[in-house]
Amino acid sequence: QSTLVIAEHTNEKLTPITLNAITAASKLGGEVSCLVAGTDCAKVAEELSKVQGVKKVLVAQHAAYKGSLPEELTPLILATQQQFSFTHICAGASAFGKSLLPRVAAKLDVAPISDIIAIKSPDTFVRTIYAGNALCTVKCNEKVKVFTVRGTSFEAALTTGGSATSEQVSTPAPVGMSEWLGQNLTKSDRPELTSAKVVVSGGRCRRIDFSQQEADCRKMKEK
Amino acid sequence: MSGRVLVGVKRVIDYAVKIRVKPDKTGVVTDGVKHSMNPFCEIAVEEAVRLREKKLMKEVIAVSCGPQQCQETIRTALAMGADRGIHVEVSGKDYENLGPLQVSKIMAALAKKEEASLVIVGKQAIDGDCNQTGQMTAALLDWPQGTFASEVSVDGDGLKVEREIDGGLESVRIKMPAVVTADLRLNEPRYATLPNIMKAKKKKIASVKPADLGVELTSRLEILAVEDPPQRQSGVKVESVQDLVTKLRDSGTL
Repeated sequence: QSTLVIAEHTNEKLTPITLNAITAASKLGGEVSCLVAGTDCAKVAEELSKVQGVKKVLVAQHAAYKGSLPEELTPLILATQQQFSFTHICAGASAFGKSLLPRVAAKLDVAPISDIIAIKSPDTFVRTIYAGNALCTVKCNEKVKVFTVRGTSFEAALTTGGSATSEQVSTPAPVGMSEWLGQNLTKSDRPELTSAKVVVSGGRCRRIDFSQQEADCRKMKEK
Repeated sequence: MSGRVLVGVKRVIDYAVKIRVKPDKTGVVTDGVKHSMNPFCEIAVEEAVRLREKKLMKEVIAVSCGPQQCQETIRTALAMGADRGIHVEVSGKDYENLGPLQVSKIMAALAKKEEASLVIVGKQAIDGDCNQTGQMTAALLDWPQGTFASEVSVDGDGLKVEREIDGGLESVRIKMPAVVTADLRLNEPRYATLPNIMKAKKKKIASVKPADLGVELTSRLEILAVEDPPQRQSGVKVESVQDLVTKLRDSGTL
């Protein structure tokens, strides 16, 4: 048994949800490998090799991986899967993981499992349905289990103390049917909702506007 | 450009209904519960109809997979402006096993059969919350995917898609034929007017079986249990931020 975690990163830094996915992967038992694909990701590979629980870091560098397009990453993951025959493939349930993993799963002809919140056994997962109004326990009888992990349901793996080996993987020819144009990220000094430690909810029920809310948050931060 | 658009529409429990879990934990109660079109699918239909109204596409075909009642969902799409419908008949045990993998195989087969140049589906259904069908359809067809779209525009022989990602927006250019999945901000779906509802009754809905399309419906996912989420403890009101911080400290959160 072995698991491949697809790392999400910006070529500079690892995205936090990847650490939660690594924890989920470690819970399955078996060896955990991470795939880093990017244009210039040596830094991220090094960061990953220190994460606890990771045995092997697979690095793939190519200009085609700019913007982490699922059309380009899918053939790479399929080639990696052919070489190593993982029993599980997972990623964080972010926009990145959610657009990529179903594409990989369809190519492997297996049904993926989205946004898991718990692992009962290596083939049994818990996920929410109806916007969290019900919990569904699913047993996956596929030869390869492909799933995305809800970051807030698993602790982040420690980023020190690990000693993974690093290995280059060969990159398949670019597909070239899509092109990444650019990103327009909202700048905020607050963390992402999916990786925030404390979430202060508000709105209609509190009958106050959000500027009040933000002031409260700042006060909390100071204390 | 004048291709066909295939739009997937799913019949789900209405978004306003509070769902109830069956006591035997096999699923949620669906009998006698109001169903309607998945909200993300409505956005997909609207986008497809707008593309045809702008003469960028020539025909919009609405597809739904499931029992007889799915025809009502297809009628809704026809009343919103789709030109014709295809009902893929799936019932009984097969319907229980029908997941995104099976549906995407059906969508891919239909896209080929109808020579569609664009497939638009909602980014996810509000029942299973899987968020997979569009991506998997694109994979099976070897087409590019514009997922979680908040803006779609035709750009030469391809599409420019603005995508909703975690920290903001991202734009990609994809070649046609392609699959697009609709996010909430893509558009605001129209209401079907009475004259259009009447007109929709005359539009054609073809019925096909998955076997006619060469699609096998076996599923290797097994639902073991569907349960209520753990009950949440009711909250307490605090007077000031100071109180809140003290409480959070006491509980060990901070």
